[in-house]
Amino acid sequence: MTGFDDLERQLRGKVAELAPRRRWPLIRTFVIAAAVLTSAGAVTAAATGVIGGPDANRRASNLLNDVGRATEDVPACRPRSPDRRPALLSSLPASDLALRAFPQLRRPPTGREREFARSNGRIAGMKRVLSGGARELKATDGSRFMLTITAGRGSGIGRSPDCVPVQLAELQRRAPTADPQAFAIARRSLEAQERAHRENLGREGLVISQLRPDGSLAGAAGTYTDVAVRLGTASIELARVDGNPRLVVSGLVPATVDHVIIRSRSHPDRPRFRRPVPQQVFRVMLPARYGNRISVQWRAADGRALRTMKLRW
Amino acid sequence: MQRTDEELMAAVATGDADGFSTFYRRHLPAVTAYFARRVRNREAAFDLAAETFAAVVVSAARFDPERGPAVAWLLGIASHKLTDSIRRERVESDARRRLALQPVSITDADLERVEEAAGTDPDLGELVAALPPDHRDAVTAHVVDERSYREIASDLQCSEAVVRQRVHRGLRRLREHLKEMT
Repeated sequence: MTGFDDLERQLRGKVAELAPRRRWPLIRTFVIAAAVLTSAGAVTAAATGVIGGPDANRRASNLLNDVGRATEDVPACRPRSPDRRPALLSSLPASDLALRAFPQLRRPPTGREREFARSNGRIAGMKRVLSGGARELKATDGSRFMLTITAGRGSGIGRSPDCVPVQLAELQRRAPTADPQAFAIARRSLEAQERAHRENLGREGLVISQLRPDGSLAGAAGTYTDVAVRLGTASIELARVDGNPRLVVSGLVPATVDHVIIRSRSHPDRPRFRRPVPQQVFRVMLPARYGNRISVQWRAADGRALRTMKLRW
Repeated sequence: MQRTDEELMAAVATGDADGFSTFYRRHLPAVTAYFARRVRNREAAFDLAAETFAAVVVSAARFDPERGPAVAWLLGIASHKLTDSIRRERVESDARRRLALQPVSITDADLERVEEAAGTDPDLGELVAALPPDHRDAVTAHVVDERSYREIASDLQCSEAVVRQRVHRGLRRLREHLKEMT
């Protein structure tokens, strides 16, 4: 898979994930418009003006809003929190999958880790951090990271995934009278959401953030991550450290990785570095003269190569 | 039947991932070529293209077809990303961070694709530059620089209606060019 393909794959997932969040304001807008126009005694004209646009996608969006209104009192579709805003923290325990991937999650969190989860509950946008899902990890160069596990992707939207089948049934009920083109688009949209929920069921999000020495997030404004990597990837960037350009190679690795071998592929001498990875995270700074092509190899304790990745900046 | 860019953007706003893929594949070559011809570093061109499409996903719901075609909106995003990166001497990753995307490993095939785009693919900026001068200036001022019709009219010493007409015609021509290419 090329980088362009990977980018497309990731953005496709985000399109489906963001859609339910966006629909709330549309629903509210429609409710307000309808209420105002009803009081003016122009319901029919209003409906034509508000609902019937020239383009099928707009009609589909309005159809989805109608479906949303019709189902908002069904228990599965009620907003999860009384004020309709998603909670910041999830009380869910980490899944077996997460526990296997990150043995650190098996120990009780420290006070600092609990506090980090509490104060960065929206570290990954709308995803909720598991209240016991933050663990501090130390790389061998002394830099510190916070691993944060978030409740399943898309679960922070304020409504249960169980709502989607209810909405699909409601949409189907409206099929005989709905505009066929708008109906088809609306159904595809709901089916895409259902697929995304199904695929993400039981899967947690993962964010790893670099920390400053005082324990705060090193990212801008402390809201989003400075380094966001997932298991199985590594990143490389060119940074200026104490006035000198440095290649910073970092990554999160499976618990079976004992050390990494980092090698320059563009320097004529092909210099090679071995770094132990005791807590599943590594960060290595190299002189910029080692070039822009680097390979990272994961190795087991017996020296067996587990995976090799080629990176460029 | 092929969906228009505007239909695709409306679909993206409702969560249609296939709609996004169509839009992405339709415009990736032109966006990549736009950056590849303006920045020397191929990886930076890739990053700028990635950031541009991430911004498309972030702001799809705000796209308003009444303000102009989607391709002009896309050009505006690309142009802002390029200006920002030149001013800050690095490619920002705000949109990708907002979406919490995982880093993308750039392969040799990607770099070849960027190289190829720089040499052969039509470029959004060049299409705008090829518009008649009065249309080009009006489109650039309104879509890329986000200036109001009133401001532009005052600079050009003409009425707002004339500026609106030039922007409208320029964008229509741009859309026709792109339709011919796809």
